[in-house]
Amino acid sequence: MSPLERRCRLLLRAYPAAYRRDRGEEILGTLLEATPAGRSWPRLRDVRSLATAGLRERAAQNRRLTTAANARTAALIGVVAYLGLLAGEYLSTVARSELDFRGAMPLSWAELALLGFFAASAALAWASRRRVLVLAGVAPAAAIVCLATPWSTFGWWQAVPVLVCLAALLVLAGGAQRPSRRWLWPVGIICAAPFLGDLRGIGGRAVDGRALSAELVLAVVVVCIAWIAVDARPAIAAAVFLLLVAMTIFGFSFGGPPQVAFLAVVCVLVSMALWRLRRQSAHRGGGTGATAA
Amino acid sequence: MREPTYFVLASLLEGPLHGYAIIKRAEEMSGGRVRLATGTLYTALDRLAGDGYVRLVSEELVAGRIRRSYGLTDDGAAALRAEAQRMAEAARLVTGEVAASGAGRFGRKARTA
Repeated sequence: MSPLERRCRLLLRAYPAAYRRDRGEEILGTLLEATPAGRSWPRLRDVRSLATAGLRERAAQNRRLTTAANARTAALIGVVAYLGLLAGEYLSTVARSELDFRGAMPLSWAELALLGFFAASAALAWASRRRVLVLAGVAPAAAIVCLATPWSTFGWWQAVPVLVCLAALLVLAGGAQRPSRRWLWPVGIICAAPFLGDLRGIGGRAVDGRALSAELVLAVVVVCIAWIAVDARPAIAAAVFLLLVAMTIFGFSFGGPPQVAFLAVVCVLVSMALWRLRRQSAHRGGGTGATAA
Repeated sequence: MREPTYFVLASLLEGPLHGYAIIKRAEEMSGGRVRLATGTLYTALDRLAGDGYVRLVSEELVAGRIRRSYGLTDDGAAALRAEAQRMAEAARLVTGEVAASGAGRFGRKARTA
């Protein structure tokens, strides 16, 4: 494969995967023919037009589904990302304490079971259309949160976001639309981010792993929000995720100026995202088929 | 109808063409003025196919890649003729020929103004 073809293929990634499967090779052939001989990069106007057309095509994907279906998918992703962050925090804390040899802090049976039920509920809400299956994961997880309460050392309010998430998984499960696999990227990064907390240095330079971990999560959130013009769903997912994180951090003391400012920012974000989503989605009555959203 | 769309349709008047041939033909027909970028071409083709103005005529494998040729439908040819007519009337309005012929909607507007 020539450097030109490799760069052209990279450029085609602006288009959604389904479009690339159908038209990618044809567009690539035209692009290679249209590029003057001897060049190792496509022409600037081709780069610009393919990037614009690809992003427009991505935005058009939402038009198969209604606003409600798209918002539901986005909220599910936000909830799954939050549960993934919690699971990542748990596991990284255990891994760190074992690595430091400061006495093992293995997961208790309750924590282990809770993580298992988190994973099962999230996976079933993502992949299955049967609410009863999701309930099989959600009900034991909720029981563990309430009874075995691994949260007791941090304060009872920390159980509330988890219970909210589990209830949300149950409500959001089912329906014809399932999130597509491309959503696994941001969710996976958020799940893996807490493990950066173990970093002490890179290439001999001291690194604050905890700060790096938080910055990575923040970067994913910022990219999701910046994507609003193309697809508003990541921004809605980011808003749900931020609200749940804020509930964990602030508890129910939302009266202070920082909390009020935070809530105002999230409200503006949700309003903008929903406004964009309405314009990007199909009108009521469309998109009833089982699709990957 | 935007100019690139007009020239995409016009390039197919003489028969079906594949993507790169449409780009070259549109450039020739416009005297080098309309130089279609690849992304613009396929966006236009998708839209025109959705409107029923263009249809897929043939697929062939060239150097391991699929090459599709597109042709004008009857609706596409009619839309192209209507657009050409509209532009011709608009041009006559400026060149003054419309007053002599006394026909066309631009001419009627010109007389009432």
